[in-house]
Amino acid sequence: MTLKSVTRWRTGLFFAAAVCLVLGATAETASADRWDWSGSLTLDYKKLLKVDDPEAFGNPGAVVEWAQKVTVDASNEVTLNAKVCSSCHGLTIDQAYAEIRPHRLLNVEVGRINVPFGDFYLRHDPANGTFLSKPLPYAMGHMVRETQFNLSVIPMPYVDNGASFFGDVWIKDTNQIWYAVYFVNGFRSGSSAPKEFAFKEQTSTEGFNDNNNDLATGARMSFARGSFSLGGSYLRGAYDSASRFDFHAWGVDAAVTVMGVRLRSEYLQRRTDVAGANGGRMDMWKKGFYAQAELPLGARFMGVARLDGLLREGPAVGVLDESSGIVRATLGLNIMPTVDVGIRTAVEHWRFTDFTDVNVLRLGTVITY
Amino acid sequence: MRRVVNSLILLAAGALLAVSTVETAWGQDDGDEVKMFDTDLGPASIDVSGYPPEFQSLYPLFARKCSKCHTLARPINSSKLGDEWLAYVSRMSRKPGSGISPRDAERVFEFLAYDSQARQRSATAVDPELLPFLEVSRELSGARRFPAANKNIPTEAEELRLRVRGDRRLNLNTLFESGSGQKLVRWSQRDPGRGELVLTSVDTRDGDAPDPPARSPADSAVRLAASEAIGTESDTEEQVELILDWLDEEIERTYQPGSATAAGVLEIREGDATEFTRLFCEMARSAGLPARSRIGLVARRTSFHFHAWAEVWLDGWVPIDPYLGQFPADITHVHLKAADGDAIDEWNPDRYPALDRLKIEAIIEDTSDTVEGG
Repeated sequence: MTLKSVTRWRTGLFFAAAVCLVLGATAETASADRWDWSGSLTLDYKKLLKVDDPEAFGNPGAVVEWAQKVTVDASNEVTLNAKVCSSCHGLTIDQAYAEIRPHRLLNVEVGRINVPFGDFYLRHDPANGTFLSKPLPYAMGHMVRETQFNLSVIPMPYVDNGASFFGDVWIKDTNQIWYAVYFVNGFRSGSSAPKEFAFKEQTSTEGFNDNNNDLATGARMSFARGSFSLGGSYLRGAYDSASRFDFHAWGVDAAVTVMGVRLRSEYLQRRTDVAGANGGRMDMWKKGFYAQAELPLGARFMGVARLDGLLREGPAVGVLDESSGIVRATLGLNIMPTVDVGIRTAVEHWRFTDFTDVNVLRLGTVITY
Repeated sequence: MRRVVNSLILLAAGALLAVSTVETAWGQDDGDEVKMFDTDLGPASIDVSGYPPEFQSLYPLFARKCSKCHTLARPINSSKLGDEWLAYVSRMSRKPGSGISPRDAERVFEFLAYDSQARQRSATAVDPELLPFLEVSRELSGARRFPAANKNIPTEAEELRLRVRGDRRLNLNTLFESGSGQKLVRWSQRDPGRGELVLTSVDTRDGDAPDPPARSPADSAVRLAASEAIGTESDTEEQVELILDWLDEEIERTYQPGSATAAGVLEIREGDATEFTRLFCEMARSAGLPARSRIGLVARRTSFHFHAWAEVWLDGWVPIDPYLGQFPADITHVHLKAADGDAIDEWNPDRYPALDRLKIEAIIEDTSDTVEGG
């Protein structure tokens, strides 16, 4: 299969999903009751309390994110989804896919899909999460020292063109085993001697075309019983145009509710081939974890705490040496005057291996509709 | 600054730990608690007491399963109907960690399909008994009903609390009477459109003793009706009972546009709360009982409606509802401020901004299902 034909095939897939969405607006699905509209508006303001080197922090204090989603049930077995977002990278198509459910054991998502890696992908939308900031292993760029640490293990939201085949098996009505295998364009890089993904391109219109003919493949399996869940994920692919540089990522996650406190934790890591000196190749590792607790304090308040970290190991880049890391401790209080409006406050303590510590105050609001 | 932040972190951690201990004592021990909010898209629970037993038994399952990832109000207030729920439930149940097994999905779908249709039927069908309340309320306030609860508001309670929220320009202190049997609390001049009404069961209400009414009303038909109703009875309470009995037998309860005079009601022999109240007051006065009409709110099932009733002086003003045949009127009669005369004649809703947008929430004890409406 040539690069051109693969690109054409996947672009066609994306447009097929788009056409399905348009068709969804007609005849059978025109009934307003079959449409679900939802969205959110988030303001995230961060204030650095101790800044020795203001230039190094760079990114804006306030970020506004808007997301609009529409879902339409074209039939009992087919649902069409589309979502647009506007934030740091401008207006982007976050999702546009058809979900086809012929059988419980085998369902398909095809189009621009939300890649099911880890547990956090289900909660990457600020409206679904409990923190203003993403866990470090999933951070994209809105972080302290973004010029040094921008891009983590798997930046979220990670949406990509492709297809995911998923299903679930139940044991005794209480135990769910959920699985997915997927094929997507994969991460990309604009360089022939890449040092890391060019993730920003992923979210622009260029992201709809692959830069190589190598599909990224991945799988996820999770087990859930009551409030307890345990999952594992794997993803591999090549990210340069010649398919010479590849990456492998895997992660494990667990969540449980104990005495009203929701506990979640994930560990993930990625090994990425990067260009070394004299045309050689080297391994770059990114490893990250987070452990968080969400404690409802009545119906209107929630206390949140999180410890997360990110370690980068590989060739020295700029001011980062071969092994550089961050550990962050977060403590916050979420206030929910109504179920549609949330006020989130947090104090973060960032500890860097290569830089001085930083304390950050975060304040934000999330409005959902 | 660093010391301050560290102290704050320690303080917050301590608070979290303390609250966690309390939460433990409350016994929240798994992730299956039902998320319910009293402010959402609408009611956060369903009164299934009128459903067939097989659907009543499915409700707890629905409530538990469908509030794991979002509030229960979301599906409850969806416009999906009947089979339209199939795709939605199927989609949700196949999500990782949904907690909805194929068998659960089937049962949740069965419940939602039945419930959505049952509630649509009850919303569109107007009970003929309720119709006069709806129409009188619309005439008096612009709104047919003020939904306040998802279950019947108790009429026999000793105390009833209502959270009231009105337009910013509406001053609840000038709208609601505060005195024996009714108090406006949690009200401030800064936010005059919000407050809480505490209704208590009392025998008589505050007020000065009125002068005895003239014993010869203008219309002889009214005098004749009063005489027919009371006969030779001299006990005042008995006289009231007899007038109510007479009205019950002689006047048909039905909606009448506007408000007919007492003589007019005697001619047409039918009317709603305003007609019953006018005629009752005239007949009571004819018997020498000081009486006056009142405008206010009354609960019928799960909603409040603007309504008219009477008060008779029996060593204190006693609220009597001629239309409902209640002596004394039940606790859900919410009194509005009125002059000493006939409130029906004096009532002018234009004096109260956006009366039709009033929101009332009945706080019904022993359950968590308080619901806001308006």
